[in-house]
Amino acid sequence: MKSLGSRVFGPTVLAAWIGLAGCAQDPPRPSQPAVAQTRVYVANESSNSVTVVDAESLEVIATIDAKNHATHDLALSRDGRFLLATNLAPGRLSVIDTAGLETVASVYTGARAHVVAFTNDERQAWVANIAEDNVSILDVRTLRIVGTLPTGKGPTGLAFSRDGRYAYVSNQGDKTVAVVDTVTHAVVKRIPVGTNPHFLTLGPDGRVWGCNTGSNDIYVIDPGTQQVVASFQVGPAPQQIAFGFRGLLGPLAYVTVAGFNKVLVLDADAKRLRLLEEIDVGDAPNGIAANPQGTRMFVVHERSNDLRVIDTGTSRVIATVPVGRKPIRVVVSK
Amino acid sequence: MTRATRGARLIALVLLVLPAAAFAQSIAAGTARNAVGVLVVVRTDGVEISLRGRGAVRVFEGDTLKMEGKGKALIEIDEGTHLALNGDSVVQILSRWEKEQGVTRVVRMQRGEVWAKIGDARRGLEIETPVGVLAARSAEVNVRLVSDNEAVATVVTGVGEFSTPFASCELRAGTTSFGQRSQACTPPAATDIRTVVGWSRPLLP
Repeated sequence: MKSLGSRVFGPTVLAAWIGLAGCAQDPPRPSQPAVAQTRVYVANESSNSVTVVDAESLEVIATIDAKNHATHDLALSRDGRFLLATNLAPGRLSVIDTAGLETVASVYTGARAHVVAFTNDERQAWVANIAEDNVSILDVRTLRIVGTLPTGKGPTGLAFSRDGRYAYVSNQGDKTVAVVDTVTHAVVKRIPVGTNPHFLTLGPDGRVWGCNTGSNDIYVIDPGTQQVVASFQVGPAPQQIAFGFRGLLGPLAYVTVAGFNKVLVLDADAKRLRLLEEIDVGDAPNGIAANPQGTRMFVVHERSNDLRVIDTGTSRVIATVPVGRKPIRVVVSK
Repeated sequence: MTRATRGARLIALVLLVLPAAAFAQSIAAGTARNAVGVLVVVRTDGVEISLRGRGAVRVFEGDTLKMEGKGKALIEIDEGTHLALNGDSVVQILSRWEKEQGVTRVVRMQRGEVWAKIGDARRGLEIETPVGVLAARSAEVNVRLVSDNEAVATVVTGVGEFSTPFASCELRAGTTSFGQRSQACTPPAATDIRTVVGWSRPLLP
């Protein structure tokens, strides 16, 4: 049976390969190393769209209609070819072709589809459905839901360990992070965390970092012990975390603290979490993501409806780009 | 009736019908035709409507279909595809949209057993369970959810693809595959089709 996913992405992928084959006989000698365009994608929850920004020029390339409602979280494939977007209202996942800058599929995953993450091999995408207390497993090739895992009450965050052996699912309803063995699909541990745990991020140290939006702190889970090895009070309504460098200093953890309208900069060494700096940003910062070099932080603000760019070398906001209404999540191509 | 009167009536009819069509929220997905026992159709807003015996209850995208007690029901979904529910089945009627392929009908099982005959070769049907999904077109299939951790997929006629998070198994007519949580689907094995789908026969028109 021909796969549906391959039909969706087939022509684009094929065209790329044909293009490469055409160059094979007489390879060009570029005067400069090839640099792929780095893009920033922003999920606008109240505009039902994704804003696409050139990470260098900071110009808006496109605004993509998600063909759904309440677009919340994003996951970008490593090659940047396709972007997945959750949509809270219909419980559906939008599949976006980043070359064509359009939504090419919409898949029902579950009620209040909240966050999405690719597995490390990118053969599957897992989607946490808040109102169903489970995670849907999407086969990326066929775009079929091939399984559903009960994970805990109100799943709102999702990240995979560096080796892909475990998935971490934060559950707002029971204030835990469930550790799911990706081989047995069993929840092997429930780690108590704080109130309203939300997005999870894999840190540069291989640990899993998360924010307790309701108890004003962040926490760090060590996959070796499956325990919280550090936590730190950052202020009201911390939202998301990204990692970068300030010159020789780093890696550093950049935390959006919505209640302070600040990004807090912490030493990302979990053994000695300490506040280094506070950066004033816009109104209600939420999503944050770094460029691949870790020298820029892209921060979206759900009340001022913009994307602000922090130069990590000077810790200053160097640009503000208007995006859609209530931007929640931002991802950057690798 | 004068030509002018006919025209005015036509315009009035269009004005009456147009807003309903333009603002329609629910997408029709089929019609429940027959229930042995009681079939309850639960709309996405929680409104319920029941079918007892023969009838015509419309089914919309997102509806949940529940058998009350131990019954059976037949639903015509889309064109030429029939779906039957057995026992205490609970299913949700969903879809996937793809730019190139249009809409694929999806039935998500929460409990019980379903049988389907997919008549339109252009449009497939997918039956989801917590442990795997059976996809087929121009085929007759049966899926039984043993528990949240185990499902049995059978192809009666035609060909189907049973996929779990760990593997895909192509099922030909007269074969069955098991899906269990954390395991690949079992290789297709021959089965007695009459035993598997006998329950659905009294429902067929």
